[in-house]
Amino acid sequence: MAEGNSQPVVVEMRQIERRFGSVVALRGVDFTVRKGEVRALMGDNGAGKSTLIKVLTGVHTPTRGRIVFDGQQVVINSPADARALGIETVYQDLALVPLMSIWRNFFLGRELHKQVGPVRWLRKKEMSEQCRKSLHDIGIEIRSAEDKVGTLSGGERQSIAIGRAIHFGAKLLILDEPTSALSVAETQKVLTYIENAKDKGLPVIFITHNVNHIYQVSDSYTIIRQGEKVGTYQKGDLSQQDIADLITGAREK
Amino acid sequence: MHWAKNLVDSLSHRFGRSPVAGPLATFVVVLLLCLLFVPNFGSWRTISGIVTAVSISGFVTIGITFLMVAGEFDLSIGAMIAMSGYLFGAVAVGADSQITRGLGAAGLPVAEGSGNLALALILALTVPALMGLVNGLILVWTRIPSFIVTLGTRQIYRGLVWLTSGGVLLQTLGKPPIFNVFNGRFELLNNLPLFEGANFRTATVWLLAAAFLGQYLLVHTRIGNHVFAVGGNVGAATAQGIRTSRTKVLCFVFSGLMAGAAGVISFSQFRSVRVAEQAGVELTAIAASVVGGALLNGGYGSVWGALVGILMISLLRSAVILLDIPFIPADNFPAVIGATIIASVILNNYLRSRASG
Amino acid sequence: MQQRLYLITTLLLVTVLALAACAPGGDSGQQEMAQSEEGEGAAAAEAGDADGGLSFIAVQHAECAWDSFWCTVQNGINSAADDLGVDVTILAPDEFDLDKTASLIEQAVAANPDGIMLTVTDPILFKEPIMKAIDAGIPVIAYNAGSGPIADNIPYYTYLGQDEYQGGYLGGLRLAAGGGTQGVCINQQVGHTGLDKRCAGFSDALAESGIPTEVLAIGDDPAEATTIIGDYYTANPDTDVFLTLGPNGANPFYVFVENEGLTADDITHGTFDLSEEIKANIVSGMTMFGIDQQPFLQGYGGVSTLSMIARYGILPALPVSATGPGFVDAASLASEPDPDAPVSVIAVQHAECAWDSFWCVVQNGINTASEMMGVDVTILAPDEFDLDKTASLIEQAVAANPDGIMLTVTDPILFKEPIMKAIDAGIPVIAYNAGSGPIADNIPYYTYLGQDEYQGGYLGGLRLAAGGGTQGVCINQQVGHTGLDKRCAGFVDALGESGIPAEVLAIGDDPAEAATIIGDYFTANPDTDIFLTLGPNGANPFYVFVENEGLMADDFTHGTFDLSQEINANIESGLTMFGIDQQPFLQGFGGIQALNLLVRHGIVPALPVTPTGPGFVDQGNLSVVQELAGEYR
Repeated sequence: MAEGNSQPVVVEMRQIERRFGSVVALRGVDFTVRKGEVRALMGDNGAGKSTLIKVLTGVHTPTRGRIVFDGQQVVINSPADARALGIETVYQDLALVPLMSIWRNFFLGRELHKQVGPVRWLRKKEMSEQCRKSLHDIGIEIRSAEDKVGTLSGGERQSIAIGRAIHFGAKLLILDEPTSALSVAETQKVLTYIENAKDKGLPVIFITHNVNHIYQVSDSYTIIRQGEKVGTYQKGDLSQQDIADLITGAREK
Repeated sequence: MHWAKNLVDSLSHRFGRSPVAGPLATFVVVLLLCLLFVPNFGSWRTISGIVTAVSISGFVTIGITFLMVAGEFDLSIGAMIAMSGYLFGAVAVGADSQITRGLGAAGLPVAEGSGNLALALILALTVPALMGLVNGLILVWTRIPSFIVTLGTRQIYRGLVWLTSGGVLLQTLGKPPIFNVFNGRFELLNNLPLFEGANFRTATVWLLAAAFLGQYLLVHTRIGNHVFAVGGNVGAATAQGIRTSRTKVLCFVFSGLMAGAAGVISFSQFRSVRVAEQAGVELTAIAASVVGGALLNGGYGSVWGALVGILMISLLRSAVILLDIPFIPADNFPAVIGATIIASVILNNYLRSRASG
Repeated sequence: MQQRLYLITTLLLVTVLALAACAPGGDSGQQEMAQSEEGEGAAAAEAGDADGGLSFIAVQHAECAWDSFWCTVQNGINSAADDLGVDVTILAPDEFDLDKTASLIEQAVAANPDGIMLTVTDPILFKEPIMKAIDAGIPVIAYNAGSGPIADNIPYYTYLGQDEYQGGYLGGLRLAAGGGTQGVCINQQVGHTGLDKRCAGFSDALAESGIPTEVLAIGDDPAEATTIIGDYYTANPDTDVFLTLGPNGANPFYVFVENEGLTADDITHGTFDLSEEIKANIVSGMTMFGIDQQPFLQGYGGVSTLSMIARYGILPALPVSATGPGFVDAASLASEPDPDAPVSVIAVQHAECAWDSFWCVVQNGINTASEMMGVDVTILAPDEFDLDKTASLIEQAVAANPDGIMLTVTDPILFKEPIMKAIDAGIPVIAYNAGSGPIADNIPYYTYLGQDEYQGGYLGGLRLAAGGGTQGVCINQQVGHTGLDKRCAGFVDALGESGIPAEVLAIGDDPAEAATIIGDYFTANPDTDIFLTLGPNGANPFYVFVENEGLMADDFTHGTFDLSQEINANIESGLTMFGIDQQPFLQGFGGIQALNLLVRHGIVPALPVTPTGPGFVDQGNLSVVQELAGEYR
């Protein structure tokens, strides 16, 4: 149960409760992530891990409970609020617009433009160049920033999204099952990017089903079941079988 | 056949980056074929006819392209053009119409026999833009698909035009010189020896201006970037903090503005507008956008592509008529156009799918 | 005396109502009072205007004094003169004498009346005197005898008489309605155009129900005819639908029925014309109906048509204006005409003058007619275009139980139920302005008053092709729209008769596109020199095309449907030969007139569609039409 890390707390969620009508999705969950930590979030389908993340990213607002981010109590009412705080989310399938070029995706919502009088226009060359360079810096190589995202593989797409989050100085990166649809080789690449992010001191919340992935990149993992936190464990605390039992509820904590 | 494969490869690569490439290449090929094989095609009379034929629908196509890129439609544009035509026509010349009388009674500076051009332009552009705004607001508030929303407002707006106009045909015989600026014969061009027999009109200049504006907005501004994102993956756009509702509403407003421009251009030439004006222009514009590379479900398309699309339709129509094929009577050529639309969409899809591997 | 008082009242009302500020209004009433309607010496013609004060002359080859058939015709003439406040002088020879009749026409022309109606008993002999009238600018129409201006080759306006083909056709529909196995048309004079047309219509109608028919020629000898019919029946024992073409066909037929011992249950029988024998058989149920040419309507309609021309510049739509077939069945035999009965009519329409100016002209027609004919009329219309509301207004009209209802069949499916309520309640219903006629709408109202689209295209085509031409095109802005397609079909047929090829060119709703389409078509078919457009939004791009090509009026002929400022200007300049008007005033006026004739005189509208248009507007009458625009046109 120990939070074995003395780094400052980045986000602290306290007693988060969320109801949808009469359905209680979260029943007072506490969840804390510190700087430089890769925290895995585990749980069965419907356990509440997605709801917890959506509360953090402003998609849902909590019915009760509070969120402290970077030492300040905050209210996150929209994805825009979350982004303003520096919370970047990479969704499994929602991350990018396939029919747009890499650089346009990279800068989506944060476009650079120049202005003459009232007329503004995009600095396309500059954005394209910055995009390529920034991805290169975290070890992602692309053919051309002008290529459509749709032409990229699933792993490449995840990497672009991760690269984007790092580029824009995210304070917290959330990855929603980034590897679920990837081949083994691609998964390894993505896991490397996560490690790169961690090396740059960026805290990561990493939602996954795959226990092996946890062991490879995360320091600690939180298990959620039926809207309640089962517990947070350090790498090596539990065996794979233990984890599986805790997720399914075959064993109480 | 090796060269053909190379051509397709290079096209599909270009197409991957720009939606204009494929349609433009097709257009050029068809144009060359027509010049070679269609009698009387290679004359400025025919070419200028093809260009002037789109001087109204072109504006609509530009507007509808924004909506299609954003993943939406507007089926009420025809009524907006009618509204614009009535407002512009009645107010610009001070026509004998209940519009002129009503506005005059409301204290606006217009009366029968004394028109007000500035007021006419303001009304003709803002009222359709407001109609677009209402479409957009209904869409984002109710979350009913735009196809349904505008199917409804299509009828409502026609009713509104009916009420505004009194249901009567508005026709003016007088022609203020400004009408020739908006849509008069482009004699400067037509009188050049090079363009002998041409019937170019100034409307084409305005259409090009609108296309440049559209291209600028769609490709060179943040809002344009957001339009693509909203149509391409609304979830991703939302996640990136884009105000998707606002973006969509703005597309409807822009499309309404273009409809307003179409109404002004139309009335300036034909000096005639009726309640049922331009019924069905939306479908032509949607077809043009699609021929020009746009995707029906959003996220992809371009202003220039759409213009190529509408010109392609116009060109084919002229070609089919000029060919005077005995077994295709003159009342049946729209069917040929329809078949060609489907063919060019199949080609576009093929090129795009190759491009995205 | 009562009638005179009524006339004064009517005239006063008309005078007060008529908005045209013409001085002789009140006086003209006095003038008419002073003149006997049948007196000699027609009044000097006033210029045609809406104020009344009109005098017409009717020239006919026989008269009531020595041929009782004509009493009914003259009764119709006098009734109309009374109703419409005009003065009509009837001229007829003392005995059947065509030369004398022709000289009476000359006499009528010399009197220079506001209009002449006459029997074209001999089109060759009468052509010269009739041409004198036409050349003198006197409107001429024919009644009772004639074949229409085209067949008679005399350019009078129209001929009022029976439409023989429609008589056979509509009679056939009635006979076949109850089913049948085989039909026969018993023709006493095969080769007589009129009788052959009756049989053709009958055959066509039965064919639509899948019943085979034959024409059986019988001679003039009734005994022989009886045998022929009997032999035919023996050879074709399945025959159960019989049409006879007059009393001398019906007479041997009844003998045959008696011989065979047939009853009304075995066969259905209809006949043209009425005789005492036929009437008795209608009453007994043996014969379903007799078809009457409605001579009363020939007289009444003649006067009414002339006053439309002279007063309002409204021209008869077709070369032949059908007064028959008028079906006489057991019910109509039982009812007696009551010319002085009070009549109340409710008009239900989907729009009104208050918010759609088109309707001001229709309503003016309704009000003018109702005041002239002493019909009490109420107009019901929704506050805005709302078909549900219009339907409920029909229900409301039925509940008021008027003597007649006229309405717009804007939506035949939605309106069917309320209209059926009126018909079931025994209230006569006619349609105006919107509808397709009782057969197409599948609602058994009497008739629909509106434009005959095919005839519009056909007659327009004849005019355009009159000066010759090489190739024609009908520019259709909405291919697939039944009405517009019919216009084009008529045009193509008319040109085809002159050996000029013609086709339909589809243009869209976008005028810029349309101008290019027409231009391209012309490039591909540079011989095209006859153009028909189907309305202002077809004419509009057409004029742009003409400008683009630099064409002159001499290069082509152009006609169009409808009128607009632009079209009027081009008619005036000579670029456009004519505009075709549906004549909304006549839709309102004619509706009231039809109900008035139906209720008071038992006159049934002849055809499912009573055409109010095409009304041609050309350089000759453009100024009149423009003057009356908004009120009568």
